[in-house]
Amino acid sequence: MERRYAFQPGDYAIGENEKFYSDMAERGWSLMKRGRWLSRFKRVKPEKTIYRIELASPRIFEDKGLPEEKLSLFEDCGWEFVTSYDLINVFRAPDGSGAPEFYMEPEQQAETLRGLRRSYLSGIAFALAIIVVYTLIFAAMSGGINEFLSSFWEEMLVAAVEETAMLALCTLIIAYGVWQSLYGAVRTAILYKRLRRGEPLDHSPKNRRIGHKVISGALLCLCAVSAALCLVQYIGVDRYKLPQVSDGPYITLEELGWKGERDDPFGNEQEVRVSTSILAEHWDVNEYLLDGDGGVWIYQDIYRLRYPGMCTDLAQAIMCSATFSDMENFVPISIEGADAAWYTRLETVAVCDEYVIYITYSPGTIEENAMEDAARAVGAIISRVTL
Amino acid sequence: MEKQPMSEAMYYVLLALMQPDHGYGIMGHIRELTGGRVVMGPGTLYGILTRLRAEGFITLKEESDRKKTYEITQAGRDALISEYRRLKRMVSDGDILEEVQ
Repeated sequence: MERRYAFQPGDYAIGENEKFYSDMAERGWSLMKRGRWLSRFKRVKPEKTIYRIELASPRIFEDKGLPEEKLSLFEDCGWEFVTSYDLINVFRAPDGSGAPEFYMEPEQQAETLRGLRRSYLSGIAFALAIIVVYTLIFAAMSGGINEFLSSFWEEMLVAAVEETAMLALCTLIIAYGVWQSLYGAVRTAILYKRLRRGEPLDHSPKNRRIGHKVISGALLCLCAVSAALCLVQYIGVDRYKLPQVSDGPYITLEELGWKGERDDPFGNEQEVRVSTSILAEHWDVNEYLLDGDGGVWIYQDIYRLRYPGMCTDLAQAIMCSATFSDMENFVPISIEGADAAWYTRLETVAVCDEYVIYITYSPGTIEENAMEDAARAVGAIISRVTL
Repeated sequence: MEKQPMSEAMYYVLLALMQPDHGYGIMGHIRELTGGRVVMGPGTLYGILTRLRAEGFITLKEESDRKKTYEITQAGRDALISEYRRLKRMVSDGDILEEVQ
């Protein structure tokens, strides 16, 4: 049996869906099943068929299917039940069969839109509730709404640099969902008002809604491009065991003069991870060394930005979302070769040309020398990147 | 508060249910009664049956397979007769129009 799938109009477009299925039947494709986005058809002899949609309008937690009695009534009138998905129930009858329209008055049909309207509005309300709850939880953890919003945008900037395509994909998916929900809610509300005013449903609308199609198509294309870029970035990630001598713009503890055996007490692999996003190349290096009585460790995040103008913003964002300190604890320090540098206990951030360097370094020395040690480590990295 | 006038569809459904009947039978009965002027769709009829049942104007007489047979209640009869009298009076009030014509 020859089959095909086709994208169907949205649930809010009742008349467009009816026309879509009728047109397919006239071209020899009979509807078999409706899904979330796609409908399945089978090849048949082309024939004129009338399709009609009846919306279920269940209460909350009620079954979304039509009651048996209602189905039986529709079938007794000559309508064949074809398929249903969510609130949409599709019926058909051969053209000229005399099967009566579902409703005598548009006002009666308007009432069936309540469930669909509720479904769009509850979707939007649910999304808003999640955003509000998320904001409140993190605001409480950050010490206030302003602090949360500030750290949120800083975190987003770091994410945009490290995972540009992934962030773009997530944003576009959310934008597409919000756009579809808002558009569906507005179209349903307009249709409801028209029916309430006594304007009958147009079962064969001519308006092609070009604006909506262009925006939806553009968002979907951008999603596809972002997904492809994500895949390219994911495949392009290079992870390898940390060599004894640095092979990139990072430094090893041995090159800083430490001797000892590499051994991470947390069991993490001591490795180099190199990834390339649309905005930057990123080296992520972790190293832990057992030296005498204690341990020495260094975490390095080194970014090479395609747009050096972003360096200072990224450095600020890194300080804002630093692991061990708050932004206000960082103090400017001078490091040879660096355009700017900031230090706080354990963490140092520096900007040098198109590079942003962020190290978390515990040299195991007494507090007074820690800043000099950190500056020396960053200086060694700068020497490598400016070679 | 004054009672809302009954809709045309409700009036005919109650009228058809002076004899117990199931959904499709009601539709046929109404078509016959109005000489084909009122063709009630299944969506409209199902909505009205649900509403009339909730208001206590009709009740379920029997149920078999997927079909339900309804009959009018005393409250439904009273409402129907009251509506009939209202309509009759409205028509009689309009007798003046005969003279205009």
